[in-house]
Order: sequence, then C-alpha cells, then structure tokens
Amino acid sequence: MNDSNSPAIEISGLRKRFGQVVALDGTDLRIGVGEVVAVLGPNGAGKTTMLDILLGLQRPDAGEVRVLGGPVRKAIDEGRIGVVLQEGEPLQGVSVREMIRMLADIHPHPMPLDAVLAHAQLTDLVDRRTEKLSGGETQRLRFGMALVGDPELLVLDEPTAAMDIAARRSFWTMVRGLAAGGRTILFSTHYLEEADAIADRIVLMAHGRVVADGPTTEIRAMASGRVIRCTLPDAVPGDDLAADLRALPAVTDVEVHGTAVTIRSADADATVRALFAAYWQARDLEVVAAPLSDAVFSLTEDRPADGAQLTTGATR
Amino acid sequence: MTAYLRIEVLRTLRNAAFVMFTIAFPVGFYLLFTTLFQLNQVGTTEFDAYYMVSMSLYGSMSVCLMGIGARIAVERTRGWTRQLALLPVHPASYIVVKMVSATLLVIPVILLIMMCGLLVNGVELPLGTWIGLVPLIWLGALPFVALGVAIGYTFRDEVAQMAAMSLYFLMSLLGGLWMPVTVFPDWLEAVGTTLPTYRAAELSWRLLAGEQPLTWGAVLLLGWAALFGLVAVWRYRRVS
Repeated sequence: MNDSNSPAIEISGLRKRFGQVVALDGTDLRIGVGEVVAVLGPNGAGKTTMLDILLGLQRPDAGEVRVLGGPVRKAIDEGRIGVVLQEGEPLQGVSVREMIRMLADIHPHPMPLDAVLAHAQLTDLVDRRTEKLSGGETQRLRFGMALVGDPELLVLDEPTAAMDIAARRSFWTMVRGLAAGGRTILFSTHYLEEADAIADRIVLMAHGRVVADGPTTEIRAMASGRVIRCTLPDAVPGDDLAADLRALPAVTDVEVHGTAVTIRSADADATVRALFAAYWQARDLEVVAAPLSDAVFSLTEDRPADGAQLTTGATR
Repeated sequence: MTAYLRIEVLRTLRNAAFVMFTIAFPVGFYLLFTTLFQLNQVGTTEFDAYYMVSMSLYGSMSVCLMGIGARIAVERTRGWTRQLALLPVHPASYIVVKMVSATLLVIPVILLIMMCGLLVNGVELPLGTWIGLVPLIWLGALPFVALGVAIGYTFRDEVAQMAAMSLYFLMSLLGGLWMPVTVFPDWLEAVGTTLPTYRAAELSWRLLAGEQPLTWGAVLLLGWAALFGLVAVWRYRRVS
C-alpha cells in the first residue's frame, strides 16, 4: 500500500495530439487519496483523452502518469482501480450474478457479491441476463462491475451521459455512498450541477489544459462575479437604461426585460451603492453568486462555441 | 481465468444464432442430404459415413468463424475488450479464452453429428475408426480457429459477420463439405482440393476409407494453418 502522503493520481506535462488537433497541451493534475474530484469541460477539452492516458488505454506523446504511487498497470493488476468508461457493453448471454462472479474470480481481493449488489442497487436484478437490462440498469451493472475489485480509486468517464434525471440522481447517490468509504473518486462530466453537488474539488479543462482547479466555491469565486437582480418600476422601455446601467461601477453585463433588470458585477458592493444613488426607486433587490456556468464561460470564453455545449442538466 | 472460460462457453451455447448455425443446420443438413441423395458411396466409403465427416467439419467451422471470429469483432466494437484491458488479467487472456472455448465447443458438434450417423442412419464402422474420427475432425478444425481470430481482428461488427459468413459458405461449398468434390467439373475440383476445408476433411475421409490419414494433403493443411495463424497474429498485434 502507498503511504498517505503519496497522491492517488499524479499527472505531469501530459501532451497528446491527433494529427493537427492538440488534445492535451501540457496537462498537470495531482489528486490526493480520498478526494472526490470532478473534471469539467466542454467537448474537446481533453477530458476523455486525459482519462484514457491515465488508465493506460492511450500513450501520451509526452508527460508522466503515476497512479496510486506507481504505473497504472501495476495498480490495475493489484485490483486497486475500478473504472466505468463512457462506452462499453457488459458481456451478453450471462446473468448479472455470473458477470460479477466472473470478475470477482479474476480480482485479487474482491468485494463480496452481496456488497457489490447493494452498492450498485443490483440486488433485484441478480438473475437477469445482461442483455435484458434497461439503459439505467446496465449503467448500474457497469458501476457494479467497477466495484468488484473493491478498488481504492474509482475513475468514471462521463458515467451519466446517457441517463435521464432520475437515473442520474440515483447514480450519484451510489457514488456518494462509496466516497464516504474513503475511496478516491475521479469523474468527468458535462453537468455542472453534478460537479457542484458531488465533488469536493473541480478541475476545469479547456483546450487540453487545466484552466482552473480548486474547491467548487473557489472556482465560482474565480469568476469573482455576482448577479444583481432588481426591479426598476419607472424604467421606460426603449430608453437608454441598459447603457446607463452599464456605466455603473464594476458592471460587466446588463440585461433588461421590461422593468426587470439583471446586472452582472465584478464588485457587487460598489455597483449596488451606485445603483441606489442613481435609481432610488429600485426594489426587489437580490444579489447572488454567479452560477457555476458563468465561471466556466468566463474561464473558457475564448472559444464560446465550445462553451455553449456545456449544460446545467435539469435547469436548462 | 477458468471462470471467464466457463462463462464464455456457457454464453456461447446460450446464443440462439450460434445454436442454429452450429448445431441445428449441420445436423439438419446431415439428416436431410443423407436421406435426399441416394448416393451410395463416395469412393469406397458409405455416403452416410462420408457426410458425417463433412457436416462435423461444417459445424466446427461455424464455431470458429461465426461463433468466435465474428463475435470477437462485435465485442471489440462494443467495448468489451477495452473494459478487459482495465481488469487484472493478462492482455492476451481474451484471445486465449476465445481460442480455447472454440476448440472446446467443436467437440460436442462433432459428437452430435456422429450420434446422428450412428443412431439415425445406422452407420457401421470399426470401433477404432469411431474413436479415431473425433480427434481427427477436431484437428482439422483447428486452422479455422486462427482464421476466426483473423476475421475478428480485421473487420468490425456486422462487416465481420458478413465476412465470416461468406468465407464459411464459400470454403465449405468449394471444399466439398456440401457435396463431394468428385461431382464437380475437373477445374473446380482442382480448386476445391487446394482449400483447407477439403484438406481438413480429407484426414478423416481417408481414415474412413481405411487409408493412412497423413499425406501431403496434411502438409498443405499445415501450410494453411500457418498462413491463418500468421494473419491472425498480425491482425491481433495491429489492434492491440
């Protein structure tokens, strides 16, 4: 076993290109034992390539990867990693029980069958043939298959991509249960709210690089933005209201819909003070932290077309 | 590993298409054609006995090409081999399990056709010949295991199934498994007898005729086996 100081994952200077396309452009990442980390980023950010290289499925052009204190193959052979890839069908023509039993047989220190079934909510499906499972059930099986080795590290590559909201919710409940057991979990996702709700830490990727890395709250703060909403009852539509509001201190963006106004500000205190000075009749004032999606947009904004592919799942 | 091999054999036997192509068709053809065609003899051998060998090999090829080869392609395409690469097993274990399960699954196919010969058609052979036929047909099927692997690592998904099926039908037809090559025109017979299907069956046909099975035809079969083996290794290396 590795000592508690050595990180679960250590990636340095990872580079990978496919022809003209640079997938990874000097990626660095260090993940401590027991951390639950989300890798977030638009399509083409390099998330999957990074995970593939991390797992030894692809070779990097340059850079180094160490997993659980050694080469990834060693960690795999010791049964210390569980993986759910984006795609990949379980074997067909076998029951859930047979599938898990077989995997248990090839792992050095398997988790007991009942524990796997309980963690992955498969107990009722144990005698079902794998090809007869629904999409959500198959995903649970895939998750169960990743747990069979009783892994210290779980790597999940967009595990909820094909799920509906209910399935996603129950999936993350399972993951949280395992995180509580002290396992290190690294997952990639498109869904900001998943990263927000599950992870202790968010790694934001764009153009093959880590553009932000920190606790969720810190990532939000990096955009340093607040959203100010209020009603300006005397505002005249068609007026130069938007332009006037934009002239207030620290304002970065303004939206006006009738009398409802949304202002984005880099310094909410300064903006609000000036707002009341100029518009004493302003009411229903509300100041909130900018949503995580704003942070992502602002950090990856040099390619808005990609950023636009980010979704916030249920809310959008 | 034995657990993986066990479920590999089990799930192959559970596959309806496999059972149909590998068991139902050869058995059905054997019973149908030995009843339909009143061919009494091929050379000095009773047709009922001769065709037992043909259909055993025909079914065995189905195990190798359709049951194993095409399914390798399907499992590669659908990501099973990628998942396996992340499990604590040797990278070659997938292909080893496939090949071993093919060689195992050939045995019940051979035995079943021989049972039909014995029990339904009343084929009479010396005990030694019965016992000798099983390993000889099995041996003749081995080159096709390599061919199946080559197909599985060359084509993807449905294309592999088409390729396997085409080769399967073409080689068994021209190689004289559907009807003896002696009924072909001379030029076609010349083509047919160079094929591995003919040479694989020839081992057992010679045994039935009371002749020594290993002739230069066995050398030709060995050549085919080597060729299939090389292609399989090359294709496998390319993909892995």
